[in-house]
Amino acid sequence: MKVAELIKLRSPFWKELEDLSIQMGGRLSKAAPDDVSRFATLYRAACADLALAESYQLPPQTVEYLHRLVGRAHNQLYRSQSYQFKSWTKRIFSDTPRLIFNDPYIQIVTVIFWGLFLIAGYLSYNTDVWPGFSEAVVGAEGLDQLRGSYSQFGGNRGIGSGAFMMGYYIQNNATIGLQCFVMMLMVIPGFVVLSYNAIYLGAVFGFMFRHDSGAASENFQNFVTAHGPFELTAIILAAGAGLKIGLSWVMSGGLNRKDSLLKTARESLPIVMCAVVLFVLAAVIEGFISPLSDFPWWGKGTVAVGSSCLLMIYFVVLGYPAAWPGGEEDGF
Amino acid sequence: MSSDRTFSAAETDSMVRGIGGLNSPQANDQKAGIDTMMQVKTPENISFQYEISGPFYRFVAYLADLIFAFGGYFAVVALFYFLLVFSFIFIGNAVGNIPPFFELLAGLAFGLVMVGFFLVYWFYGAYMETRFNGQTLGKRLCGIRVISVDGHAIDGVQATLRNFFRFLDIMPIVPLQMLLGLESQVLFAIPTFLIGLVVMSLNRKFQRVGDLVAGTVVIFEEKKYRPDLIEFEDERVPKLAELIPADFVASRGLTQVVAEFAEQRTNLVPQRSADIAKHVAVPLMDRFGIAANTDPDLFMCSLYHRLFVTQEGDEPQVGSEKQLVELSLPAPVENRIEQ
Repeated sequence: MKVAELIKLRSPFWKELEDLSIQMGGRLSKAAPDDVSRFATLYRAACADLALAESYQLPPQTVEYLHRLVGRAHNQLYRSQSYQFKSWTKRIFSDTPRLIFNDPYIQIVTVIFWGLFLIAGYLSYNTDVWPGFSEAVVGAEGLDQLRGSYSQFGGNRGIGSGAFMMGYYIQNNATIGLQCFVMMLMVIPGFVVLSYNAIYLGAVFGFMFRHDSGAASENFQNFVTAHGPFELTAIILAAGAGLKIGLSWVMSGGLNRKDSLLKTARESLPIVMCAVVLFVLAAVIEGFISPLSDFPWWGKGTVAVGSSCLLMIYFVVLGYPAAWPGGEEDGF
Repeated sequence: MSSDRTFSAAETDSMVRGIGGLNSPQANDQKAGIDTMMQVKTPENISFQYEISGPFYRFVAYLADLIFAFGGYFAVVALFYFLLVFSFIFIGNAVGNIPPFFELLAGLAFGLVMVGFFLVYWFYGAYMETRFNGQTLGKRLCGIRVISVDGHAIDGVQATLRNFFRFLDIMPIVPLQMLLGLESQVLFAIPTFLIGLVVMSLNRKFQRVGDLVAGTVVIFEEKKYRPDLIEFEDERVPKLAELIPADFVASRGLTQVVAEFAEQRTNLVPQRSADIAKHVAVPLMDRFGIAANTDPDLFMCSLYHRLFVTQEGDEPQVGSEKQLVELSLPAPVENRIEQ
C-alpha cells in the first residue's frame, strides 16, 4: 500500500481519538461508558499503528504526531489515583504510628533537640556556669522585649481573638515546621537550623524560669504549658522526617542515590503530615486555652498531660510493632 | 562514474550516514540526548517519546500560578472583607451599636484568612496536580504537565512532595535592600531560584530538587502536530519523480533521511538546503541518469513524492493488507463488561 493511502485510511481514526481525548479532558471516569470503550479501542489501534510505524515506513512527522497522540491518550487512561479514603484509616492509625515508632532518625532528632534544649536551658537558668549565656543567644534587647511582653497577661481574650490567633499560629508554626523539613534535605544547614532553634528556645525558657524575671516568669509558665507537648513533638517529627530524607542520599544503603531518595521521600511524607496535624492541634490550644488568664494553672497542666497521653497512645500503643523485626512472629 | 553502476543497500546506507549519522544504531539515543526527549514504555509495550520542558517555560507557568492562586485567593478574601464591613456598618446603623457577635465573626474571618494563606501556599500545587492529572492552571496555560519518571501519571504523594520541596528550589532568598544596597527597615525578600536552576542544569531531565525527591518530570504536552504528508506545490516535483526508475527500492535509512530532509528544508535558506541535499542527491541523480545540473533540493522533494505518495510500499511484515487494517481498526464492542 502507498504510504499516502495508508495515512489517508488511518487518519480518521487518529482524528477521532484526538477529538475524543480533547472532549473528555481529564474526566475519563465521568464519560459515557460507550465513549470510554471507544476511546480504549482507538487508543489500542493508535498504539498498534505506532508500533508498526517503521514497517509502514511512515515519515517522521507522522510518527511524531502518533507519539503525541498516544502519549496524551496514555495519560488520560492511566491517570493519577485520587485519594482513597478507605485505605486512609489504616494508613493513619496503623502504618504511620508504626513508621514513627521504629524510625531511628526521629530518635536521633529527639536526642539532639531535647539535649541542646535542656543544656541551653540550664546554662541560661543558672547564671554562675556561663554568665551572660542567655544574652549571648537571644540578645539583651530581645530579653527585655520578652520580659516586657509577658509582664502582663493579655486578660481574657474573646473567642474571636482566639480564632484569629489560632489562624496566625497555624500559618506561622506549620510553615516553620515544613521549612525545617525541607531544609533538612541539605543535611548540614538543616542541623544548623534545628540546633539554633533548640538552643534559642532553651535559652528563652531558662531565662523566663529564672526567679529574677518576676511576674513575667509566672505568666510565661502559665502560657506555654498547655500547648507545649503538641508543638515540641511536631517540631521533632518535622525535623526527623527531613533528616530521614537528607541522610537517604548521603548514606544510600546499597541503593542508587536517586532511588534511595525516592523511596525514603515517600516514607517520610506521612510523618511530616502528622507533624502538620500536631501543629494545627497545638495552634488550637495556643489560640483558645493558653491565653486564658483566669483558667487555673492545674487546668492547663491537665491539658498538657492529656495531650501527652494522646501522643503516647498514638505513638506507643498504636505504633508498637506487632512483631519485632527478626524476633518471634507470634509469642503467645 | 559510470551511470550503470548500481548501489548496494550498504552503500546507500553509508552515504546516508555521511550526513549526520542519523541511521547509525545509536541515532535514537543521541537524538534523545540532544533533543531533550524522554522514552516511555507503555503497558501495551509501545515506546513513545515526551519532550521535556526546560526551566523558562516552567518559570512562566509558576508565575502564572502565583497570580492565579494568590490573586484568586485575595479576591475572595477582599469580597468577604467588604461584605463583613458593609454588614458591620449596616447593622451598626440599624441597631445603634455593634453587637459583640461581630467581634467573634471578625476574629474568625481573620483566622480563616491566615489558615487559607497557609493552605494556598503549601497545598495549591499539590491539590491541582493530583486533581488535574499533573497540571496546575499555569501549567495548563503553558501546555506542560508533570508526569512520573516512568511515564505514568503522578499520584498525590508525588504531587505533595514536589510542591513542598519548591521551598528549597527558590533558595537563596535575598532581601531586596541587600541587592539594591539600601538601608531600609522594610523587608522585601526576593527568591532567586538559584538552587532550582543549578540542579536542573545538572541533570538531563531538567528535574529540580522537588522533582528529584518525588521522581517526576515536567513535559510539554501538546504542540500542533499533523499526521499528513508534505505536499509540494511545485509541479516539477511529480514530473521529476517519474524519471526515477520504477525498480528503484530505497533502503530504510534512505527513506528516513529523505523524509527528515523534506520536513526540515523549509527552515533552511535555499543555498544551504541544496548544499545538504547534494550529498545524497548527486550520486543518486548520477545513477538514475538525471541531468547533473538539476537542483539537488528539487530532486530530494521528488524522491519524497516518489517514496511516500506514488510508490507501492513493501507488504507490511505482519500479514496481508486486509488483516492489518482489521487489526488496527477498532474491534467491534461485543465482549464489553456490562455496566
